[in-house]
Amino acid sequence: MRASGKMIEKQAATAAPAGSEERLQQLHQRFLSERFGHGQSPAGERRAAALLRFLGQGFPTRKDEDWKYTDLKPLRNTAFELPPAAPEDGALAAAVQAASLAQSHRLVFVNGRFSETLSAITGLPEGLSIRALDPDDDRGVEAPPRLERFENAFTALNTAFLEQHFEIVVGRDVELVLPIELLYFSKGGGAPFMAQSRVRLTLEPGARATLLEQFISTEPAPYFNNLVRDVEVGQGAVLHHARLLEEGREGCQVAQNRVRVDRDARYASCVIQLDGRLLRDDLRVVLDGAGADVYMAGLYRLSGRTHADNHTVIDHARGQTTSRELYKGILDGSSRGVFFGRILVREQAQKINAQQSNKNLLLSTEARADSTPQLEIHADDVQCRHGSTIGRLDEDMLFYLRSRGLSKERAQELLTYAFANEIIAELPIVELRERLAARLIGDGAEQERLS
Amino acid sequence: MLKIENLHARVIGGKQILNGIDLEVKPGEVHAIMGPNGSGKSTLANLLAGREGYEVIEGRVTYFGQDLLEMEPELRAREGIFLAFQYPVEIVGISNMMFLRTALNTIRTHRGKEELDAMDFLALVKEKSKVVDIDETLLKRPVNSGFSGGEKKRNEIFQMAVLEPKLAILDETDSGLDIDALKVVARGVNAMRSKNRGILLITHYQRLLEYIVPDRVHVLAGGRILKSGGKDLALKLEEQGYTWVREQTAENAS
Repeated sequence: MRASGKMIEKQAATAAPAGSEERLQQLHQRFLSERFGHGQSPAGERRAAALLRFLGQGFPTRKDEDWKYTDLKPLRNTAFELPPAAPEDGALAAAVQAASLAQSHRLVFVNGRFSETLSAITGLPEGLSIRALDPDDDRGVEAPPRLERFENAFTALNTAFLEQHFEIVVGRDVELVLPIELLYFSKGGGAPFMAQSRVRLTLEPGARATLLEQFISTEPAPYFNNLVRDVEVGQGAVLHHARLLEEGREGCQVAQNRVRVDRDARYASCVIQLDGRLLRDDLRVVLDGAGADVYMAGLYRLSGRTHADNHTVIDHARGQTTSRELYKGILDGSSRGVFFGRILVREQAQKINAQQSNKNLLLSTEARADSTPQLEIHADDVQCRHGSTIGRLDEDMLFYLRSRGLSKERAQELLTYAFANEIIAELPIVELRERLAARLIGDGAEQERLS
Repeated sequence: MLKIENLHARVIGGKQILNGIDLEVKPGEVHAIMGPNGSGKSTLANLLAGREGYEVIEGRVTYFGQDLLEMEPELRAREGIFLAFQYPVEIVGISNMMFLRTALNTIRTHRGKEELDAMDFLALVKEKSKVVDIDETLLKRPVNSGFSGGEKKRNEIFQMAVLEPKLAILDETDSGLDIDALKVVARGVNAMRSKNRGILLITHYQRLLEYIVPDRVHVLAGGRILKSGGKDLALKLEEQGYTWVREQTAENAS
């Protein structure tokens, strides 16, 4: 018994060199020497320190309360390489063309690396600045004030392997006509790789902007996009932040979104997850001044064995702040959707209004949804409401549609679309709404026109 | 077109509701089925439209010679059966227009006709919406969503006008309508009367039959047609109530 037990232990040890410390340290050495040279630099030192922080924690396990429903085995057991340079060929340019908006201030990243030729950021309007930060600049890797408590293993890993850090600033009272678009393309050469991305977006007081992030892949092999977003919405500013995830079937994405919303400012987020192997989205919003308002919408429409985990925290740090949150899941195949939503109301935060809802639609018997709403209220003069549902398609609705001649499949498709539409309607860009409608029901443009 | 013979049916896992119905509807005819609550009226309507949850124990239903009970609900619709629901469902997230156009084009394709494009469809909607006085802005809203009871019923008749069925079954379309709304609905139904179309009106009250005059009236109680007659039967029922029919039937039986 004892002998066989040891054998198993040994096997396990040799079978999992992937996430081993040694391997990661070697990879990091290579990364530092390739990207930052052998000599010591503040950037290199900071990255080395971050790697130690990551190694000290490792990837979280399911024993960690925040990771109870998400197993990071696909990350832990894969020997990720540094991202390969993808040839910027005609096929890639065509794919970018097809995916991107007709008009936007566009930054394209291939395997996490900025591509100047595919991007479109020349002739930016006055008041909009987009630039890569100096790697030696402290601000490049430190969390903005009030968001530093959201440091974790993933932000540490991001810092450790970060090549470039982008900063986008929309100036005071500037109203952008075109959206800012970040397009991430994952296209490797076979070996699993991990890519880091970090963007800091600041809206100065009174600014208005729309940010769209898209993640697309033609990569069959596993890869891992590790993202950090630091967003500041200044006093009275309005930001629409949309994200569309169509990662590869074996693609993993973990995102840390840290958002601070100032007095009388508004942050509207809409995340749509359609494909990937493992998707985890952390969205933490601090409402940091009276009149600050957040609306968070999410749709995870999953099939196959995709696992998506949305982990949201709304921190009502000040009084007279409002939040609304609606996440919807449509789960087919053996997919799994996890929603966790915490609303935190601090002691001094009186007169706040918070509403949260999570609704799930199960389309197959193997699919699974987990929903954990959580209220943590330390003030007494507050209005909070939350709820979650998990159900199947309504039989009466199905019959109604079929009694008008629609096939069972078409009726299911339409009802599923109807369920999703509430979120799709929140997307700030018409072009995107049409494209999604087309993807979900086949004639999106018609739907837009007739509705 | 529709022939119901000795139909016995029950709710799956529940009690028997229909106890031997015989009825034939020919093209051009308007039949009214009247009966008290729980008589099996709505069960009959749902069974004809193909709602799941019922089990036929005995008897048969043919539609233009085909075994209707073997057909999926969507096939019945494509073959020209239309049920105006007693309680039309609300579907948030799909517009009426989108839904109706999908339905119409599905049915047209089945009948070997070309699909209508958005322009032609809008023209058709404009024309048909006048018949039932339905507000076009209502049609742009999600299916029945936020509609009043009367608006929902009007929407059913509007859909019927657009889809042009061969056999229309109206399940208590008059319930919950005030007199003005009732008149509008009746006008819509009357406009649909034609020598090729059969109409089956299911109602609790005689009131509707003042505005849509039927060719035949059947009294349904206890899952059986107790009495059939001309339009005068409805008036007699109104005056004397359903107990009159029951008593009379009991007398005949004894």
